Amino acid sequence: MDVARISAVFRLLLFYFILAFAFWAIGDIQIRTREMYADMPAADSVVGEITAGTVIEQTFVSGYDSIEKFTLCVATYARSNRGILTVALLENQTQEQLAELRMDASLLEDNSYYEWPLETPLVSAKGRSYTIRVTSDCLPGEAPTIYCSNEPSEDTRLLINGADGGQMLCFSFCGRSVTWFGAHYWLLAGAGAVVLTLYGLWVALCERQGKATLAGTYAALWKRYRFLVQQLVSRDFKKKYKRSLLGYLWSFLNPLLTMLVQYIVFSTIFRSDIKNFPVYLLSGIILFNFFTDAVSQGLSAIIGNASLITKVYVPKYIYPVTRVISSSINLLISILPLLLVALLTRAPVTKALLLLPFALICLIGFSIGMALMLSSAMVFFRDTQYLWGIFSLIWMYATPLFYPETIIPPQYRWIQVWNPMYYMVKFVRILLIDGVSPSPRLYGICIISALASLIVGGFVFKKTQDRFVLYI
Amino acid sequence: MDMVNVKHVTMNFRITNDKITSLKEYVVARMEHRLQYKEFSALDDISFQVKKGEVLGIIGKNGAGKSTLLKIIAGVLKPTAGTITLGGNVVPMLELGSGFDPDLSGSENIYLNGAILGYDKQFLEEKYEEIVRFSELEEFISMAIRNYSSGMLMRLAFSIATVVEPEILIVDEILSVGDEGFQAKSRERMRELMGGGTTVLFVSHSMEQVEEMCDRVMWLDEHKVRMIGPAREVCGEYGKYWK
Repeated sequence: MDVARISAVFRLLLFYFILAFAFWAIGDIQIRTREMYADMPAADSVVGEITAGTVIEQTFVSGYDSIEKFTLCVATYARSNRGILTVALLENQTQEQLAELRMDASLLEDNSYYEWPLETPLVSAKGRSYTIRVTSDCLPGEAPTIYCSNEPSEDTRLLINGADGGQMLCFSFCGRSVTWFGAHYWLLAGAGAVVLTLYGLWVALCERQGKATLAGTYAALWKRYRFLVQQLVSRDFKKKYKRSLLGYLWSFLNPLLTMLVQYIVFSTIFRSDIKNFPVYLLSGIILFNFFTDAVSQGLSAIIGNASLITKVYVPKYIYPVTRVISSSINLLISILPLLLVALLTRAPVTKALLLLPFALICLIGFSIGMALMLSSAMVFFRDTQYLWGIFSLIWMYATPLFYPETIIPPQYRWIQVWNPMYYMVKFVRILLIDGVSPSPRLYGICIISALASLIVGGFVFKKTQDRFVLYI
Repeated sequence: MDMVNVKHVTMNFRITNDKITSLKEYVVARMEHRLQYKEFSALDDISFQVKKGEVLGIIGKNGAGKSTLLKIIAGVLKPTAGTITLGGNVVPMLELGSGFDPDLSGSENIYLNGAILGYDKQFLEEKYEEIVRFSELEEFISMAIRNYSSGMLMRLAFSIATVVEPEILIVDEILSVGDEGFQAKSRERMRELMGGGTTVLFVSHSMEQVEEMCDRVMWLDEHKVRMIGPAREVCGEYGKYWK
């Protein structure tokens, strides 16, 4: 019985596990752990000249699962020094030396933070006790020093030549700790699989008894209107560049030229603050242009197809949705110059790029929701298109597309916090510029923005669609 | 078997004094308390049945509710009250140009329009030749239809709509376009469809055509059914009414 249906559920499950595993592998430590920073203690005094023979020993206990980098607060007595400071990291139980850093005293800057990224991060460090031992071969009068604090935190001890002065070295370290999400990933994935299986079996059962289910209805709708969607999309696409000499090439050139202009204009102002400014600019331009284009196109979908809507019954949401899909094809073409620029600027090409579809799907979902909402508002109030024109312009400036996100003063931070487009753009930038996966929080925000927009847009559309015919 | 069963259908529109389409007008009207709604009944308790293969003509003055009724049967409008049961798929024969895109070629429009009418890809590919042949547009089919004459457009629309042998066909003032030759041909095609069991709802102001094509005729007057019966009888009464 029902071998076909059971095997469909099985295939769905297999697909789900492939996705879950791929996400685990591609997301890597970024989705399983969170970056942790210890605060730098207040610099109250210094440990004194670190000359040959001096031994500074700072013990501490790691609160994080891994440690990636140390930062020391150094000073030079405002003179130029000579010699080598040796910083060693020891595990206290085994007395094993884990890492060593040789600092050239002549290169140190006065009152500065010296960063020491470990070549191999310390793993399973949580709860273990370590010692940072600083020695030197500098002569008195040309030796640097390190700041220390008079208020040591717990589990730390500073020994200067074996004497405990109740102080603490001005140092901090950063690392990563496993998050709740990371620790329970497979549990969550398993729970998802169980829900999926149960729902799949339930749908199969209902179908056998001839009962309608939500999934079944949507599958039937898709089967029935797939060809229409395809035709409408191909029409939009054919018309877009009809009778233009370069045709589809414009989808490629347009963002590139915009980027070039903005790059020339803004590079002198913001360049130094932003890592890989060309990719930063282009990713923002492409995503936001898609968003405004898709919504503007979708907005007029209902009144633009008035002659059809009043004659033939087709689910009305098909019109705005297909407009957004047409724009999405354009978006996919514009992704090519983005990848090209990323390659040319030597952005890290990593497995994280495989996460790009996630951001694009969320963005498309978000745009569909907006298009549904505004296209239905447009039927009743034709002002909607002009309002959207102004609103999208404001929205564009509120999103850090060509300026660094840090220039927004703290009291206006809410502009970014409540802006879904900010997160979507940020998501793509992390993938392209840093070459790593964003944190689980950013995934959550992107999905929730898309779903919220779809639900609100779908609800408004459904509530008003029966009255469309009377107003168009 | 009833292909179309319309039971007590009433359609009320709530109309404002002016049609308000901008936010400013709405706010101004609201503030001046001009925003009064008037109930307007376009159809008032209409009931009728159409059997399989029957051709029902619908006649009446302008504004009697003919087009509203067809829209409700096509599923485009939801009636305020009453129910409609259909025994098959409905294909409306589209008015001149609607559903066509002027920038696309004739053949692209065949696929687009076919998709809108609910045909699938395989069906259209099979019937493509037949559609082109029937429309007599072989030489112009790859030309953008912005350059077509209205007669050519109508021929294309007619060919697409009738190729399917729909179970229920809605025809709203259509057969009067095209030259003598095509008119004769399309009437022939309509007869073929009706012979093949297609149920047709036919709206026209030409009594000649109605009498010739229809089995039964329904006369709508003042949003109600004034008379329904054999074509000759109803058309006769309708003729008298105008004299």
